[in-house]
Amino acid sequence: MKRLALDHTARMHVTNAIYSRITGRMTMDRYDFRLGTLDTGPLGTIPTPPLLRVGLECHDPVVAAGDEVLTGTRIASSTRAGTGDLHSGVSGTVEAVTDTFIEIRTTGTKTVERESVPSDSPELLKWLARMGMNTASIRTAPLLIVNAVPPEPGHGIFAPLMNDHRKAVELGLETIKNIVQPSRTVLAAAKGTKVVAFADCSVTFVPARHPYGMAPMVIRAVTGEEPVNGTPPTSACIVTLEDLYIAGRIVESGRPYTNVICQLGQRAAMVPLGTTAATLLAETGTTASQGDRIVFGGLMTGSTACNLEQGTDKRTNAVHVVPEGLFMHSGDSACVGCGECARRCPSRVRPDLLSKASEFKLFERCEGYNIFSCMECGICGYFCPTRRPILQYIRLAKQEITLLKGACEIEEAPAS
Amino acid sequence: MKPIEPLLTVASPPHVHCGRTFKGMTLETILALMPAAIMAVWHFGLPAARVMLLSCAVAVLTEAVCWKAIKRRSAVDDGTAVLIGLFYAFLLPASAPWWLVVSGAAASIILGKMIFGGNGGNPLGAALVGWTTCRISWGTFMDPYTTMLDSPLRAPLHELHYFGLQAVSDISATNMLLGEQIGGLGAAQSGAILLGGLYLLSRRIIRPEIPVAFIGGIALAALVFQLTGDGTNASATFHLIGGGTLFGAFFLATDPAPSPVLPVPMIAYGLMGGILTMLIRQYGMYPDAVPFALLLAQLATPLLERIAPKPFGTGRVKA
Repeated sequence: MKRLALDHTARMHVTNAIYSRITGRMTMDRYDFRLGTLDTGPLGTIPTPPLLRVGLECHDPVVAAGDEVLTGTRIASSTRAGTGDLHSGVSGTVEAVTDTFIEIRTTGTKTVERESVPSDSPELLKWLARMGMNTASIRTAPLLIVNAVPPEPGHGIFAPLMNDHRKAVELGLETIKNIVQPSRTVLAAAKGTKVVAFADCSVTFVPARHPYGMAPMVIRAVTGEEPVNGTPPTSACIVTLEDLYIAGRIVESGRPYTNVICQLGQRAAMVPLGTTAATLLAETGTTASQGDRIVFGGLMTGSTACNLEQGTDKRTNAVHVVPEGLFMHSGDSACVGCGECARRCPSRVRPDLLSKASEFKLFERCEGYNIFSCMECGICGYFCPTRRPILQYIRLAKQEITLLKGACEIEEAPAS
Repeated sequence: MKPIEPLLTVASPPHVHCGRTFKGMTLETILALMPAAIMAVWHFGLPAARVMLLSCAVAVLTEAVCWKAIKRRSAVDDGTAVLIGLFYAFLLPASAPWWLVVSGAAASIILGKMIFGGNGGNPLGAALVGWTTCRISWGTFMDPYTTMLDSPLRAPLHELHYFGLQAVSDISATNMLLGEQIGGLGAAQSGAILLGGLYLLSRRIIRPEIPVAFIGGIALAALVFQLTGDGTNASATFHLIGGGTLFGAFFLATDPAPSPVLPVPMIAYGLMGGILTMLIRQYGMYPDAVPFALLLAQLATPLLERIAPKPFGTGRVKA
């Protein structure tokens, strides 16, 4: 890593990394794996963005360029069960519709009419998806797990939801319970964090360290059962606290949910779906320059934006700028067999063997190494001394195997 | 189409890294060998420095030529060539002739490492391959005992092997720890090697499983021989600080590529290396059997690696 003189703003937004007092540069070897250490304060909002760019994942657009839309107007319908439809987060004019995104310019403040909430549960679930909620993980199960463990270090949006938006969250829990029909409800929380349990709900604490907040790890902590990533657990249904909030908001308002709760530096805010990276960076007073990474999501598992116009998707729970020179530069360096990845893998697979096999296109061999047990926590790449892009190799192999089986063309959305 | 401004980096997660580099780990291993190198020069004088420098230089040069020959981007700057050269030199007697140093160092790099495509591909320790090649080809030149007859120092393992326990009863443990013994020129600097090994452990460059199991295997086997034998077997301490045992435990056995990576296989591998060393010392023809024992243990690595936990979600029963 090259040495960099960093300005204050750049430091602000790579949260959770510690700067060496001696050299003044960020030492990633001290990256804090603890969960739930960040206090974001109450949930804020941002001024209405002038432009939205809503990315299409598996959606067919239902608007054309030039159409007028209101806040909450459906702009694309999902082609996959369990994935929510897309709605405009602002009131304005559709500027462009392409294969990958819909662009909307803000012109007004009008909102769609309220819809009535269906009463029977199968209809309710479909309605929630139509209102923009991802419902893939919700189905009837004897056990409902509410995951209130932050999915990643530096993720702090669950605390304000738990405390300040209690009403919506509780309404959401009631709604989800209606669909899931559980005989038992468990709230999973990180050890050492304050939780206020819901009525008729027990609390399970999990270690406050990455990757214990990831859905498969939480399911194991609560049920003792290990689901293989991508397949739903047999005995439980897991939703996040944010899911409850979304469901609660939809039922409460009778309107589509068009926001994402996104962490901006040290605070958390509701931002309309599709808010561009440029808007968010301006909001936090940061800039991105040539060669930087803009990360949508956490630093361990988030994805990078390809340009400043890219809009947030429903999984964007944080925005980080990692300045050039502070992230690892991966290359095609060979695996030296040190085993750091294998010893630390929470899925107990061999990232070293998997990445080597994937590198040489031996995808069938990857299957033999149980590649689908991998939950993509990013820990292998963090510890690799030769900085191999291990997770990229693993994702490539997963994709290739799925294609070989002719299952689908798009990578499955994460379980939660 | 308008150019994207600014041009961002797009990459897969994670976007943070522990900051450790393979090159840094190699350089720290070389640093950990320095006390032993200094002690070797202290005891054997310039001949030891000559062997070490020549071996490192030949190793680096050979690797550079190899990268050129296979037309790939050279990775000679990662320091492993120096490390392999130093490992090989540490196993040689200080009296080794130049051609032996050159051919062994070249064999280590070519047969031990580059033929498998460089770092990480090698199934056996590179320096061990070079050492074995020469030990089998020119045994008498490689034997520290027969080539160092003019030295006033004692050779504990050799004397034990040829003359029995009585002959070595006057060699003190302090002397052996200080490296006042004939063996591999650096390998026999037991005290300094121990220091370097502890440094590597404290820096978490090596894991404790392999060295501890290796030492445990030696001690266990020595104890068994001592208890069941007729009183002619040396103690575990003698076997541990005599010759290149500790060098094997901390440096040769922990070579990342040929050793297992998960805890249980690591312990099995260490124990196997230690016990094999003692078996060869007791019944074989080599007084200091560490390199051969480790080669055998490394051959078993792929088998030992099969002792692995079941991956997530593939069979653990409900707790």
